[in-house]
Amino acid sequence: MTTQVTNQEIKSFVRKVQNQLVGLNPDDLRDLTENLEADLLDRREAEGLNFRLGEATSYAKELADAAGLDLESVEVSRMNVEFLKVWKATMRYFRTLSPAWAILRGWLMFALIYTPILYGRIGEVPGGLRDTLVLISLIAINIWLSRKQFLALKYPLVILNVVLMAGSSLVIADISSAYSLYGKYIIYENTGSLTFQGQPVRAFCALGADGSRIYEVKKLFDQDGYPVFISEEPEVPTVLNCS
Amino acid sequence: MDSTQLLKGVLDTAVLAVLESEDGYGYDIVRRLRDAGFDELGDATVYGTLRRLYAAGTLTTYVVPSDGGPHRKYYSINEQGRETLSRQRLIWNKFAKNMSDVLGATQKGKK
Repeated sequence: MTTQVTNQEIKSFVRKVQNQLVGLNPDDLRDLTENLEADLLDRREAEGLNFRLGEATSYAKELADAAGLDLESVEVSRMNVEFLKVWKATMRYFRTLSPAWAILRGWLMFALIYTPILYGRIGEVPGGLRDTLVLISLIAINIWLSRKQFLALKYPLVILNVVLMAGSSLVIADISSAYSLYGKYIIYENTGSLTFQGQPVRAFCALGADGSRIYEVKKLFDQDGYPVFISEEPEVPTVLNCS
Repeated sequence: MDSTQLLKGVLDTAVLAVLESEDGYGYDIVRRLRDAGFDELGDATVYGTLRRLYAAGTLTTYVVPSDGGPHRKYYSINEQGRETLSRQRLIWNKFAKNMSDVLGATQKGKK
């Protein structure tokens, strides 16, 4: 049974044609398709049950060819538009992650900027109250910055983000290095106050309860409160077997 | 010989000629061209041609509101369009005469 093409089908066809030409200059696209629905309705009225819509892609091609518009460039533009759609969707997704990124950025600033300046090395975990306060402040500032839209800070923030993202590999490398070195021996140098059986202790190892060696010991103090420092090139007494 | 291919070369002239007598909207112009004998003419070809002629400055447009559906965009030939049509008419007449002469001479030669 032959049925008449509905208004909805005509509207849908026009949308499909427009989608095929979406890479055109918006004014050209409007000029070319704004009257299409009315013209197709007229054609349906004239042709009655014989009226068929045909294929939207070839119709769009015929329309563009006759209008003298380069369909290949339209195709390229359409691909650009598709790419832009994907790009915008990706950006929308990343914007939803903005609070998490603000926290991460604060922490990366702590690890990659603050601790190297103060301690000369990357540090992921705050070592004391001051470090903790600095870390909290950096996170708070970054959350605040992410909620405001400072145009003047737009590009500096982009650069900072890129630098921190690139630097995050250093943090990851540092963490993985700490894990891989965990348990390897470290010699601590005594400042002079530590003695054993009447003799000053020149060096010692830090061992865990299970007897395994501890790597990341932040600071050690002797019984008199004197700090014990990590030696650059410790002299390991033969009596000590830390290897 | 495919008359559709022949028409493509002179479609601009045909559209301008149709509009010379009376303004028209998209499908109205398609119908008038089909009534003139160009049955195979695709409507998208005509709509594209109208847009191109408009962009070239030979046509002007105006919108007529419609109660029962979308508004209609009417096309009207302007002064530049009339001049273009006049030039194309001369070219066509010369071309058609030359072609008729050639075809006539060939026909005589066969006899």
